[in-house]
Amino acid sequence: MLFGYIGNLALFLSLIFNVFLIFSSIKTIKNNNHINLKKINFLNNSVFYLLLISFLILIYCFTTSDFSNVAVYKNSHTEKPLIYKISGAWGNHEGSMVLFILILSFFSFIFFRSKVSEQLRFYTIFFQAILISIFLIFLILTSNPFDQIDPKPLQGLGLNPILQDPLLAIHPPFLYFGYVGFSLVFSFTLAGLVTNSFDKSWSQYANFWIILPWSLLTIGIGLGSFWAYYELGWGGYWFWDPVENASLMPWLSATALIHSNIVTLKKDKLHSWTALLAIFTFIMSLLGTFLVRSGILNSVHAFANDPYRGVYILSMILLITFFSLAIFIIKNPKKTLNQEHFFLQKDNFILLNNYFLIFFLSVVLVGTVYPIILDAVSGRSISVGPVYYHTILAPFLFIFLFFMSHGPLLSWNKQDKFLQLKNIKIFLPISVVTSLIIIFWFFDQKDITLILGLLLSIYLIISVIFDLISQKALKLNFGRLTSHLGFGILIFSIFINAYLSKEINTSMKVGDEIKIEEFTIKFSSINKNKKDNYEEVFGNFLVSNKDEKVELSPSIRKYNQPAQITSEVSIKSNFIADYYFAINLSEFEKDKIMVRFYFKPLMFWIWFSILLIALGGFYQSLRFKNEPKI
Amino acid sequence: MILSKSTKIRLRFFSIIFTIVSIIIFFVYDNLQKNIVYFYSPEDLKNLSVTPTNKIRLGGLVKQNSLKANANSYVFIITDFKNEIFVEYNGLLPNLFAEGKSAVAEGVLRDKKYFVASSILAKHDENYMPREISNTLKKNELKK
Amino acid sequence: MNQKYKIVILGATTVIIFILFLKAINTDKVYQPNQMVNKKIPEIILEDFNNKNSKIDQNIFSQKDFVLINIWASWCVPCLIEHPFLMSLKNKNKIDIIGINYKDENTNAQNFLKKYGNPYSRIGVDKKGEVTIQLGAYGVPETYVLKKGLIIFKHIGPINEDIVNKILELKK
Repeated sequence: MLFGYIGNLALFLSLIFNVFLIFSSIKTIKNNNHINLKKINFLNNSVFYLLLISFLILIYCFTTSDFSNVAVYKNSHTEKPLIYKISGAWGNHEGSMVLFILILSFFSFIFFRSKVSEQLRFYTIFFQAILISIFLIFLILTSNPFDQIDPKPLQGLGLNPILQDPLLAIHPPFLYFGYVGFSLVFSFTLAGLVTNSFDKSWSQYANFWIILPWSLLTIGIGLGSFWAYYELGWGGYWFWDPVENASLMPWLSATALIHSNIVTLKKDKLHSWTALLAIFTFIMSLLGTFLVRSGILNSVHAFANDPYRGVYILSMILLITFFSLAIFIIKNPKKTLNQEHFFLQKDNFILLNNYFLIFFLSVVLVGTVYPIILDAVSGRSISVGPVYYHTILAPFLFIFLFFMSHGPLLSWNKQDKFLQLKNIKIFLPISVVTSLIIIFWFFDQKDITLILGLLLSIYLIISVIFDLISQKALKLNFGRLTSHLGFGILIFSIFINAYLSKEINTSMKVGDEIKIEEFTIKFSSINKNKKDNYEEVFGNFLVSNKDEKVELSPSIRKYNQPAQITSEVSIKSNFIADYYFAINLSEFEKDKIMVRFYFKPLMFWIWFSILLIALGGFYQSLRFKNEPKI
Repeated sequence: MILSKSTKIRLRFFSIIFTIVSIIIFFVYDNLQKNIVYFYSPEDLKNLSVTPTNKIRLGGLVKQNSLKANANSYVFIITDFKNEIFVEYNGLLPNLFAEGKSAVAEGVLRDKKYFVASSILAKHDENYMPREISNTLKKNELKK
Repeated sequence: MNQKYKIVILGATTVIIFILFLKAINTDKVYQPNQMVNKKIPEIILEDFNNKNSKIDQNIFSQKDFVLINIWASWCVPCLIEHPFLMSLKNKNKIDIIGINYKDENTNAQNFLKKYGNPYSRIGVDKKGEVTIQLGAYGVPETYVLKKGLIIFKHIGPINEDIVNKILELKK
């Protein structure tokens, strides 16, 4: 109870400090005073520490099951294991907004410690403080995590077993660090624009603040996808679900930003495009937050207590969008370029990469937002099937892969045609032969999409390996090479996985043995296990094909509080394929169990390649951090 | 009309860009239209003059005591409290599927009263009801 | 293009997007509360709060001349705000109020009533929040005014001075 008040007080105080920071900054700007960084630093730190305190108190309320707190009451339960009590703190709307704001402030906090010029630092903190205030007001007005209930209830409501999962506990913080991390680049961009210092040195510093959140977001998306893969029990890892798309859009935009910023850094051009992308990336993050948090995709009852919440988030986001773009229009950084220009030059390829990424982004955006708008305008409820994404993205992805293989090999300054032809002569035969071998060895169907997908992803992998071997400045390019290699492996694995996956659905009795295609499935035994809050039924299966024999024990859990059944999949994974097994209870045939078996090739490599992409990013961001100023 | 050389080049450049962009936009639009899955409630289907032949989604509550298991498929009734439609599905019913709860089925209509589902969507937790369903349900209850 | 024009275009686009999304947010609220007004109360069956084995159905509402239905929960903060009004409606104005306890734990709810007083003549339990959907309710708190089984007024959110006056006027 007492702690709740302290937490609430800390939230209010942080808002007051923050508003104070904004007003004193405005005063400084208006009167053209000398910038007092000490004062700013003090206020900025205070805001961060206060928010940290209120977040820790929220976690404390969750761990001690203080049900006088509404958020705890609704989302926790005394019987929850400790780790889920803690993760419960950010697993709900209120708590996740606190985390959101804490991360905003965290980035502001560490940014102050960077070596950026005083003026830029001052303005960046200023813009960041405005963002923090907007979200703090939203939090306090519409979703205060410290609302009290009196008398204190004896038991909490929330014990949803589906949400009790270690991955679900850690994946939102990663996503949030990614999403919210882009706020810093956003503020930094606005700072660069208003002070007319959007130049090479801006780019130099921005690099770290772009690539770090990008890497975290990559991990976050990967974890989310991994969770869907083993928790939902459908054998799939990406459903083009609006919530997933919401995280993919800022990723695509940020990927474009990373590349255009390199051009700004190396050639001192594309300023205005880079600035626009930086603003746009954060807007995409906000759009994601809006879609997930406004209830626009969700049920009515989840947000029934507050119909204003969605409207507030919407107005907030559009205000931010409008003012940031207005600043961009007024202060558009124009630089005249009088450098020699060649067509086959690295920057043109990077620009091309940007066009493609923006196109991919638009496709995802249309697929995500169109149903919402159509529903609003005409009242028709629709959903966009995955085929839409696949058919549109695939052909462009092929061209994208081809350019991605050659672009990085070009030089920054001179026409490089000759070298290119030489490269094609090496890459093409190797990739054609490799992909033909794979296709004739493993596939019955000769689908053109499959052939192109394999061919071009192998093409990319080979070009990266070639680049790696002939690299003179390995340290400089190591991050890029790792990420690109990861991307090549990812596309390759996705294609193999899509075309070679197998699914078996049937019902079985203990002792049954069935043969479907090349798989033999034997249902050997069944055993039960009683835990504190659930009862678990395991089915033991033996799956074999010509070169593998695996034992799998999927289970069904019956929870009593609340009464719910979940099925726990059993996955045996190796470098070649995953054997994925799930069971359901059949209500009608008491002695039989419904079984679902999936054969999913190269799943390991999908996760591994996502990790590679992120690791490349981490490497690069650390390197930029250590690199001395140009 | 006489055009200078640079204008000509620019004109050609823009017409090429314009053509490419239009083709791409058409491609995207066409694909979007082809892959839209419309959502219907039992009542929507009743009011339609033409029975849709392509893939649709049907949503509502699974009627109490309507679920029956045949040799290799399930049959149950999806209702919005006013109209009912038989749904046949041969696959595994998801864990969250239950009588008296909401469900969304994706598939094709055999006729106006009979729906053959290729998948049952139940990616939601105990408190979640797909928005489309809660809308139709509420509408019908209010009309009563 | 002139900067001014660009900003105007930007502003216009923002407003259009705002309106579109606002409409989208509000689509699920197409069924405005007053749509339920002037309808007979639908068939509902609720478990009795004090006795698990007995049931409450819509008939007890239809039998009464003037009755309030109030949906509440012990965990709902706004319910606490409206509680004094409910108490005064019961004690001062002698109005019959029937409560529906929404998605709540029985012991928590009992404590709540012990501490703040019980304004309800009877209480039905809607543990899963399914019955209140049938009433067209969005959540807690919500209040319905019924005259002989006919819903004549509905209020979403905590009631206040104005609503109390309105209710008293309706009673006349």
